[in-house]
Amino acid sequence: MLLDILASIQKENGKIKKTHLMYRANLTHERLKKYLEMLLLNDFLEESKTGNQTFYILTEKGNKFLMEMRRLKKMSEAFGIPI
Amino acid sequence: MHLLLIPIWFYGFDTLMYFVSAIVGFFISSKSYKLYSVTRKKPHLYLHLGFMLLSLGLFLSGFVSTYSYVMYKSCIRNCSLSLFDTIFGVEDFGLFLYFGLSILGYSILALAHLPEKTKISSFVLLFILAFSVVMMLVSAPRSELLMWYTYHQYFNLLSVLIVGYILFKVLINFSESRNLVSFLVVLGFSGIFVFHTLHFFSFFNPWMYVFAHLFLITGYLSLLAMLIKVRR
Repeated sequence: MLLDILASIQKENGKIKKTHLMYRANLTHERLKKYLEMLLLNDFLEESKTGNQTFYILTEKGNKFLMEMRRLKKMSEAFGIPI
Repeated sequence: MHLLLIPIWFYGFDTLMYFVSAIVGFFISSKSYKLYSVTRKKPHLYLHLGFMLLSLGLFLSGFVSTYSYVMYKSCIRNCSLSLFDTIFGVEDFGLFLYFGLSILGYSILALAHLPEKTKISSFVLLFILAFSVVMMLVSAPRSELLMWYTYHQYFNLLSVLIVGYILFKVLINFSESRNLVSFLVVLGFSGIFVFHTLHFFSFFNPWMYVFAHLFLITGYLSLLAMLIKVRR
């Protein structure tokens, strides 16, 4: 799920509104909040507020993590073990 | 009891192949651990543990054969029987550990390839483990001096069976995905499978030992190629 969230943000050029993310990730507000806290804690995301809206921005660290996970996913699938 | 026939000119090459294979195994193990730390899925943990154990076994085998060759060469002109006893004592113990670690590693890798819904009860696992131990112990009294020569046959036979199952699963995966990285994994396990098959017949002809090791290194280099391909 964490990877899905990061991938959704990357698809939106690295910046997404919280409401859009909730829709894209198909998660309840509470669950999304929990995952976002984890990603913010690990510096994979940054939070920015513009007016009433909250945006989430993919950091360099988050981008690198996502790329590494994609490589590992390929490796896992090559062994016949889906993620 | 069969003695292995190893060509003298090949001494050292096999050691190098064990070390290279072990390093590749460690790479895969560490990558799998990274994956497991994120996904927390058991198959990824099994992939990590399986390759970790295989690599430890291969490292151990490399060290043991280095020790044997160095000791053998140092006493080649003036060798007493007691020195050979010491060499084979160390070799005996080291290779016995290598057999154990490898069988455990292959079994764990096979577990990673079981369908998710399959539940192996601890009773079945215990039975397989007990059966392997009993088979080894039954064969032990027949060995008078070098117990690993006797175990060698059981080890390779058991390895062929387990790796055969893994190979079957990765072949099915390749037939579905049809991509290069899956093909390299198939090549990798094919190499390991042929290695154990030919190693089983090493007592028959020295070239079996040489070809077996060439297949081993080909298998692990294919897995290394898979890792490189995935990074691109």
